[in-house]
Amino acid sequence: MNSLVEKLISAIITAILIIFFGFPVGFVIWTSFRDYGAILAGQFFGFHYSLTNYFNVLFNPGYAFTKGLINSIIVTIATTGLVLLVSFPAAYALARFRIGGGSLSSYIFSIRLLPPIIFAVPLLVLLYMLQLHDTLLGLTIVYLAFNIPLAVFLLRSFIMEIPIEIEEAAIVDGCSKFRVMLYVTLPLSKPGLIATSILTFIMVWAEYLFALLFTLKNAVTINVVASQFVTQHTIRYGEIAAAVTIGMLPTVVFLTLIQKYLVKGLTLGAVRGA
Amino acid sequence: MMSEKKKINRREAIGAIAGAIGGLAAGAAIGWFAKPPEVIERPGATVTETKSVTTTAISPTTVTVPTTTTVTKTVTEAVTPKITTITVNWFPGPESDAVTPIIEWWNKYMTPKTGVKVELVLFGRAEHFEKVASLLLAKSPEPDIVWMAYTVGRVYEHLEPLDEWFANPEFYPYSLEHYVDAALDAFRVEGKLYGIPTDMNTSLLIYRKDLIPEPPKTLDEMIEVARKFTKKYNPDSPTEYGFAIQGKNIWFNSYFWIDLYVSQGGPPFSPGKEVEFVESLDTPLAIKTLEAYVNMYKEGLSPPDSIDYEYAETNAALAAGKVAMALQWNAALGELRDPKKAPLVYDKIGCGPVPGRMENGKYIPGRSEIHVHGPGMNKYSKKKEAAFKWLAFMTTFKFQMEYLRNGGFTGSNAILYNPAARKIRPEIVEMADIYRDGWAMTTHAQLVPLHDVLTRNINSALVGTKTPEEALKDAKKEMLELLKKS
Amino acid sequence: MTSREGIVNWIFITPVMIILLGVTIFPLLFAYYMSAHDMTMVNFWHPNFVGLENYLEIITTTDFWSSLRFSLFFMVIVTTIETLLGLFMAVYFDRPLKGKRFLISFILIPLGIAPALFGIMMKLMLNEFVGIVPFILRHLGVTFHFFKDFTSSLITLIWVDVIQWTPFIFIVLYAAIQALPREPIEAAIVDGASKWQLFRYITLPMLKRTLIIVLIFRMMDALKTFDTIYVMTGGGPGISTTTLSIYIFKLALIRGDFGLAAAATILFLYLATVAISFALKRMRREGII
Repeated sequence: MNSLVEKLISAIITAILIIFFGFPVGFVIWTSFRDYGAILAGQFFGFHYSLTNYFNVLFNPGYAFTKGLINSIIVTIATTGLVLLVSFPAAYALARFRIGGGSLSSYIFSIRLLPPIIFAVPLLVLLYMLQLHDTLLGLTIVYLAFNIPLAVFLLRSFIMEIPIEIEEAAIVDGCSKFRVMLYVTLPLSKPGLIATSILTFIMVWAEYLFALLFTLKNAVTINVVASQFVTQHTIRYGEIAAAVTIGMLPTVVFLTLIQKYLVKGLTLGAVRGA
Repeated sequence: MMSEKKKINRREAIGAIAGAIGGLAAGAAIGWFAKPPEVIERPGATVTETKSVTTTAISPTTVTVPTTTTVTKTVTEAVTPKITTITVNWFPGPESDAVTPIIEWWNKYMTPKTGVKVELVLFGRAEHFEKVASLLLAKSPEPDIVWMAYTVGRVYEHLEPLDEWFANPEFYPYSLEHYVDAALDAFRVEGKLYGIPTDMNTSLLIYRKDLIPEPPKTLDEMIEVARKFTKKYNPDSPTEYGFAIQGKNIWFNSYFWIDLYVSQGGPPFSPGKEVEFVESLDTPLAIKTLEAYVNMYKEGLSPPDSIDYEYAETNAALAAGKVAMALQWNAALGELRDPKKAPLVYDKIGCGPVPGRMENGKYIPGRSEIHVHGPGMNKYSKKKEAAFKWLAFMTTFKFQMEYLRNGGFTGSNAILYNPAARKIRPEIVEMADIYRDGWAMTTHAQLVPLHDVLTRNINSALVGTKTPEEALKDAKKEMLELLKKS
Repeated sequence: MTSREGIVNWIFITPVMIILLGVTIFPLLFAYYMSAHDMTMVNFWHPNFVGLENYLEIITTTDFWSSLRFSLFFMVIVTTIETLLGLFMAVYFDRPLKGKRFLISFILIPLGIAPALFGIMMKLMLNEFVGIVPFILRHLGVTFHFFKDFTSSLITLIWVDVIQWTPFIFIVLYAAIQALPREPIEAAIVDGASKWQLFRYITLPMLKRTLIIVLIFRMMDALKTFDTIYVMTGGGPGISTTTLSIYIFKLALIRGDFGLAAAATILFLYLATVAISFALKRMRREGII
């Protein structure tokens, strides 16, 4: 009796959530298949569907979509990997060693507080001086710097949830700090690593301002290419929708795959007598 | 147990690190290889004797350039010139659509002859000018040609002055006389020319000619017609609203109200006359015009969401058959008369001048502002000679005709009164007079902020947070301050 | 702790510090520099020193304070909604559900779309004449204009922000819940705790640390909201939905005055830092952190 009502409620809640979050996404996908005229005239029924938007997006000269897609994938994966690589030790240090807490944190917070526009022009000048403008390397380095703060703090809070006794046991066993971090804490931080990698991935993928300003034609990312459909007089909704839809695919793939590691109960029974 | 964990962990760790390094390496490699090869520009092989040429003064404000040019170049290389690739930045949309086939043609046929290859680079409209400004501020050598249009007043310091290039017969054997005065003036700062007008734009009254046989001639008439076609006041109206006000708080939306105001007798907001215009903003005429504009919105003659309308939404309203009239950019005609893009109304769209006024029993037609778009040359470019060849080409009749054919529209008398051109784009016939009677919009360095202030206040008046009088007084105050600063 | 240990500790942080400082210190210093000069697009490479004039001008501009106020207002509303919703969803999804992985990926998609592009699509969707949402609403008998005035625009902006950013909070809390040790939870269930008691007295306290971090970051990001609002309302009607970021952006790139924009940014930074450290001290004193 209880479970039937529960099941019903849970179904309703799930449905509401799907509609709430999925409707806009569904709308974008749907728009990508519609004719320009149909979009502009607001004709919802009738058969004005075609793949022209996708065609325009993929093959239009001057818009370099495939290049943008590949660039986005490269930059996102590289940034995510490097962010994890660099932030995890830092998070570990912040969590366990109590160093650099005060000044590092405040510096990180100030960076995060400032609207990125204030960094835009100086960074652009910097990139030009280093000949890194319009390169994937330059873009990656910038993204690294702006995503490390969140990663460090998130990982730190996840690490702090891991009972320190496990690590102390390893130290007693003769492991160096580094080995402890690598072989004990790292596996136990899987959920934290997953969450951080998801957020970093997503936020680099969706980054717009810096990609727009720091690239010209070689390192354009998918958002830059999509923005080229926002033209002076028209917004080519269909093409933008198509570009965005294609852009969703790597994200969905990555997200679905990585959730495999989002498992429960890693610390199960690890600490006796808790 | 521990060693098993170790194995897995090591593998995972190595995998993650390898993945990261691999990604980074791949990115770096691609970035490295994708960099365009450094092209060294080598002058074509020419030898010239001293020439004595007189060039026509383009406008009283130009500095006439010395008339003798001595250029001697020694033949250093083989006959076939090395190909230099220049990056040309254009405006995305109809303009870039119009220029792309021309670029393709050029690359195919003109590149061997001129040694210049053109690569097109586009930025999204939304941030186009900000991106151009950032690039120029950072002294980027690319793109060689930048589309800076009306921001010329702000970024001219980073643009190459073009007068000397155009006056040099070695580089430029044609003439710039055929441009409409207002068009070239729009690209002059302190007397020096910094760009070439390739697109001329104005605003018109667009209306449903199947419902409204003759466009309204005065402002009062327009409001009457709007009322007639608003369902709220006329349940038999075929359209829901009579007019679509472009009310979004984006800086250029002030142009429409300014057109109305100037057509009602206000002073034009032209180069050199900025202060006069701003001073007049709190006169009874200005206030009355704004009141009429605001009342159209308040009385529901314009859709409630029109407070957030700009170009796209206004077109949508017209294309969906929901509104009967609007003040809109002339580029809309291309969209609204295309059966594919506006299937419901494509054959029902008429265009006319902004409504004028009756003065002392005489009818004075309205006048629209004219503004031009176009590119200039990047001062930090490393390929200026090659880039200028392209610039020169843009001033030729061939370019302009092709551009017109592909949907662009250049402000040149050669085009406006050319019968072939008129056949391609019949609306030129409709608009030639509008262009002739129009007034040039200012090109002041503070153009955008000035309009931003005015639009913001108009927007406040539309919403009702300020009365029209307050809005105009505030606008005048702020705009005068801006003008004083520069 | 021997000094050698101290040095080894620092190695953990070094890469982060190098990257962070390397990339951000120059722009930050440059921002200070800009704020003390009259620096516009025209005289960018030869600015004039004006000391504190820019700051004075910003402090006396009502638009600055209005945009600051709106940013705070907006931030508080969206963060509250998103945190509650995200928390709810994280707890709700902590059960076996069919196709959960795909569902979660789907929910996270709005986060992966560039906010500017998402805003554009939302504008289309809510367009009075050609948007599908008003169409559906009309058929349900409801007329709601999404951009008519400040209130409706605000609701629309909040709604779009919630769709985009709740997944941010959700995924972090969801992962955190997965990482929780099972024993306390199981012990409580054995002791007969109800779902609500379980949540309030066991789960929530254990989530506290992560919750606070994600809350702080979301608050900081919400203060900086730019893309979606700029694209959807341009900061209007009037300047009613102009956030601080939009204000600074307009100062810098539309008005072309970098000095003023930098001064506004630094001023905001100081105000925010003061507020945050004050809040942090209070929270530390009350043992929340």
